Amino acid sequence: MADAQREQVDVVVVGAGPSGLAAAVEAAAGGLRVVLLEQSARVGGAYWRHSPDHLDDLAEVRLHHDWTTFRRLLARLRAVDVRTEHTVWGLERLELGFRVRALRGEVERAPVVLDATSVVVATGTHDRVAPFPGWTLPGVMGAGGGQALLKGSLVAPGSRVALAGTGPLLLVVADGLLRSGVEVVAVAESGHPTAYGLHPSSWSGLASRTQEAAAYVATLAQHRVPYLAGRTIRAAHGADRVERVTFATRRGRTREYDVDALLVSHGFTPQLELLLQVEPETRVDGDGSLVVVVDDRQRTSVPGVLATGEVTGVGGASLAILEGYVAGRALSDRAVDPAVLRRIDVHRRFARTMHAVHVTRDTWARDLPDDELVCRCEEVTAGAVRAACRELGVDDVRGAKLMTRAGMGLCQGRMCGRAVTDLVAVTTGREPDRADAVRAAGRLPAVPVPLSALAREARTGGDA
Amino acid sequence: MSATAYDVVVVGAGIVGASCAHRLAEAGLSVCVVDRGPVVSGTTGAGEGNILVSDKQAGPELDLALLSVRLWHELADILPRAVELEAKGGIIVSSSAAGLAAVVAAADRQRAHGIVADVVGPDRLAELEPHLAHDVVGGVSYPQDMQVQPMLAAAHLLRIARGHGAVVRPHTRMVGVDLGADGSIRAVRTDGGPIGCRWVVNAAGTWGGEVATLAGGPVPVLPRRGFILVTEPLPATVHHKVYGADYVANVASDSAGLETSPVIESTRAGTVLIGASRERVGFDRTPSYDVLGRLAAQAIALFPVLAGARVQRTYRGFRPYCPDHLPVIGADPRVDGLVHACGHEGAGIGLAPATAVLVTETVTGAVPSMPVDAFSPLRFEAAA
Amino acid sequence: MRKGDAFAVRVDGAEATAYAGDTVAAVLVRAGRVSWRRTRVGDRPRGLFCGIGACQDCLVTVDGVDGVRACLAPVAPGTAVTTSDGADRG
Repeated sequence: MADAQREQVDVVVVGAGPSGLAAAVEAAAGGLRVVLLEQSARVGGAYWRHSPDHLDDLAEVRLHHDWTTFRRLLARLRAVDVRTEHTVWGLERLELGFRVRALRGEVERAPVVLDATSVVVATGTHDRVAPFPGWTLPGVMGAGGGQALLKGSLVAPGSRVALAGTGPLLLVVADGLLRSGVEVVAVAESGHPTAYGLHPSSWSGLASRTQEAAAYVATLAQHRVPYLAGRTIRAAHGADRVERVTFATRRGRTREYDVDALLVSHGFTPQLELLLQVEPETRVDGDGSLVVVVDDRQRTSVPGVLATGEVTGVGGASLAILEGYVAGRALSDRAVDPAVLRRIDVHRRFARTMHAVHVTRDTWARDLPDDELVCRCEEVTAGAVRAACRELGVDDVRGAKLMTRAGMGLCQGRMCGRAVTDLVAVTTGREPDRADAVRAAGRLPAVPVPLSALAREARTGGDA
Repeated sequence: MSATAYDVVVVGAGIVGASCAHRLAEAGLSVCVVDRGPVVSGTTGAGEGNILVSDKQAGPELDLALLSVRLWHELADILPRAVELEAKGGIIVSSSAAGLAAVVAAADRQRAHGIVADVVGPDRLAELEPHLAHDVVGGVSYPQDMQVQPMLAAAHLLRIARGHGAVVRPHTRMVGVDLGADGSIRAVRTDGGPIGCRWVVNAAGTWGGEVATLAGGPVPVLPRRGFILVTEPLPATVHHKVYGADYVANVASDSAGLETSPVIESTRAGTVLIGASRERVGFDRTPSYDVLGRLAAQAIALFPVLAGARVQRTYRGFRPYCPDHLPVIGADPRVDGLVHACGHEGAGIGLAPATAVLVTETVTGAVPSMPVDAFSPLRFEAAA
Repeated sequence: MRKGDAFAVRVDGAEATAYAGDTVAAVLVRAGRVSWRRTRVGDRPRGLFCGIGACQDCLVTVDGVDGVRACLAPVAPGTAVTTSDGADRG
């Protein structure tokens, strides 16, 4: 164990997106020793993903939002011990504090162990993609993932791109693609954004957000890109890659588009695997996502574990930054500006409306043909899950996993957990409960860990 | 009293409950299986699927195991290929001459009781398991050892039982029994209402102690926690069930403290399962990094090639443990109509078919296939 | 649309152009690759899906290490990337 260099710090922040950055910076400003762990090579998260050569490039800035906020946080980040390319796989409660285990380097995979008095989990989300025929074809990817490629390396995921799903992200990504000279053929939004008009109080005080949305719609109009409300992705077609997509109205009217990429986001799935290792209180949010319960200082029910950003409820970067600020202040026992708390309430109210407007109905679970995959890793079909329900008495996501292997592969159900939960519910008529959601999202290790790294955890190792 | 009355209510939809339901229904009895959770949500769903004779010493459990192996071979005819029932054989290996001598001596004793146990030297071992560490000096091969995907096996047995008329009611928690004027069981009370029946089979595994108490015939069943590591899918690396020599000693040990010994095997999906740990810590689900680390270290010591392989999943389960390591099987003289089928510790998958046969014989009044005194629910009272 | 210093990496034995801060996935997509792996069971083509390290679809071999997420792994001058598609071809 001599080689396990264990460090003791005040705070470990996991995830350097907007909320993690804000939390780390605030906690450090309060005099705490803070280590910020980030899985990718640069801080900023998906929201401020950037290419290092372009920090000051005007073209770069146009792909980004709140860029000045990011620059301000970067300037204050000197007080934080930032470690990029660190993937955290384990969060353990100790008698006092926590032990955080990570692998340094996506290729090197060197074990890193940090002990901390407190932990801030800001692990963010990934795109939720509800399965549809052809969804596993290459060229079909998460809208946020496509945007990450564009913003991080200025590489477009395709040259003729369609977007589908629901939520403001579709507009943001379409706007970014257009600004980068990529042809966007159409955007299918399954919700009806005009419904925001039904909830005028929800966006009062958020003028910037409505202006932003209006600007995106204007950009689309300027490029003559159809923004199709009430349309869903019916299918992606192609042999070894996506070549064509079919969008459909609720009445079943269809239209096809030739594409070489399809970016999809049916909302988001908060990445809770690390948090769930310490079993905090959770709830199901308005968008159906499992999220962690926090108080007005971002504290979870596990003393010493705070959570910020999308893991507390999908609500966007502006909210995430404020939550990070509150967490950092709370950790360093400093007063929180009451105006910030009010602002957080405003954003959360808007998030509730956003969840109500941008709904992905579970009709996909009825419509998906039996031979389509639901689990990408283990290549489990919808038909296999349905058969397990009908013939083997499966009525929850864990049973589906045990009987069909859905969710047993390398991603450990990250991609299919929500889909399998919904598919089982639709097939059996049994409502999934929160225990189901926790089962679908809980996993140790949070990412695959080399056996050699795990072997170092043996307290009396070497006797084998 | 519910409108529907059954001959038998089986409490527990794991491998033992499913096996009992299958046998009982096949024998023409009307059967209702209840489980407080979904089907196969207890220890069966956290097992490796061991069907072993290699870890048994001469005695009643070995007799039960040998009967079970025979029955598993019969079940192969009615279970689909998907349950991954495979007579892949086990190998106990040792890295020390002294360890090997003990294993070989144990094999000599086992052989007298019907176990096939072939001593294998290093050269033959290298053929059987090319990736074994070079310091392994030899071992004993047990071709009768089998493996099955236990969740699918249990679910398919329930499916077949339903084909014989059995009813399965998940999410139904037993809360007690109703006795008739003569003191015999007439219904199982559940949170979904009473279910009329003549017999109750306690197949609640690790929770069998709880169910036994609710039914009025307490037996001591305690949890013994175990962790398992699952690697990413790998090219064929481990071909048999491979155990370290200390595994057998740990299985039979009474220690409450942590014991780990390597048990390594591949599944059809290409993943490698790495066990086994034993500790008595109640129903504590908290992951122990120490245990996970020991399992990893032991696996690497046996198969150095696994060092770079990645663990994609870990899970834990709670073996139903009785103080003398034997299951509780058979009628409970204290409660007319109560039949136990629990407490199989880590061997429930393997021992389920024979247990089901004995339970069915008890209920139908047939002559038992083997002596059941050693499994009596009363044996703990005598000791107390 | 790219500035900064270009450098060379090797993808399946051939030279490819990369820029500072590129991930392996960026290099592959810029080189026109949409998929670079086949699935274990169904031999289905796979490339980028989630794009942010969660789905494990985009796995490649980097400097001899298997199972590397292309969407996360950065490249440096001389990095050798091998895809299973590339290995099959050659």
